[in-house]
Amino acid sequence: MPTIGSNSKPAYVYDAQTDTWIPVGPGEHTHDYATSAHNHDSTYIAKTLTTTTGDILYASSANTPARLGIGSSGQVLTVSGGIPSWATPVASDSITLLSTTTLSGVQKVIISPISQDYTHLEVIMQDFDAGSNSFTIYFKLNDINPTRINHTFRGSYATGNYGAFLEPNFSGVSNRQGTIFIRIPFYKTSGVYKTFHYFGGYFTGSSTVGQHETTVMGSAYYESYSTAISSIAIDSGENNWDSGTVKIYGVK
Amino acid sequence: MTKPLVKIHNVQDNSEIIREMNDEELAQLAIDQANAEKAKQAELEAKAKKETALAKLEALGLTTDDLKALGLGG
Repeated sequence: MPTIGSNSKPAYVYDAQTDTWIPVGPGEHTHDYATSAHNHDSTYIAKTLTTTTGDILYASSANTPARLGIGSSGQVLTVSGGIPSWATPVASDSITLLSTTTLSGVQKVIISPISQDYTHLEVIMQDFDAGSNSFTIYFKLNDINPTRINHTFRGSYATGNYGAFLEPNFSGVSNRQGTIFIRIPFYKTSGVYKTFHYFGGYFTGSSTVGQHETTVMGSAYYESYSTAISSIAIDSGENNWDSGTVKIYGVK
Repeated sequence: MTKPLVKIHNVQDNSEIIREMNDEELAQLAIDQANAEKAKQAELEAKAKKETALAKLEALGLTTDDLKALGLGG
């Protein structure tokens, strides 16, 4: 190590290509990169460009490194104006399971309080069964009967004061089981008269011709009733449910 | 007489309460059952009328296709 006095000094090497003396080794010195053949600025990206955890390097134009700071939690990398950037993703429709209720040992089930954080509700009555008992399904929003029910299948009952899925309940029928899907649109929207739509099928176990397997489809309407739906009631009408599951999903 | 049981499932805390139907619910159930019976009878009567009509057609040597050909019976 070249030393003059008590301070370290750099040594110098001659660069014949540029006709310059270049300091090397320890000791305080600088390099004139602008004119030096050893100008690394045009070859490498300075690590000091990344100042913060999560930084990403990109080219803001040809041969021009730039720093992109980390985005917020949940943001995704996208392209805007031809360069990368972080952006919050646009929310898409989603479906969330809100509740699972067992149908067993009781005649009527009331499910509440239903979250008001969604736009629509979807209900699935899955594998319901009343064993050897007969039943009529009364499905009610806020435990209130709709003012009108129209069964597209199983005939049409124009008006009535009863729950939906009016299963005619023929005698001698046993071991019924089935699954029904119900959609309740705009269940919390004020000013909207409430309605629900349903379809599904069930096996009646009857030996009566035409009563073995039944499909149902229809709609129910609550005239002048715009109260937000916060509960759902399902009544077998006359006997305890033997088994089955009711799942409620919220749809955004 | 044993009253029907009602289960109230609170989905907020996932708790369940099972109780007997109250008087108001029993009254509504009676209305529901009466209306269901009425609808059931209406369906059965409609079905019986249809079968009677089909039997009359058959006695005349006609079928439902003959009616459709005449623009009747959908």
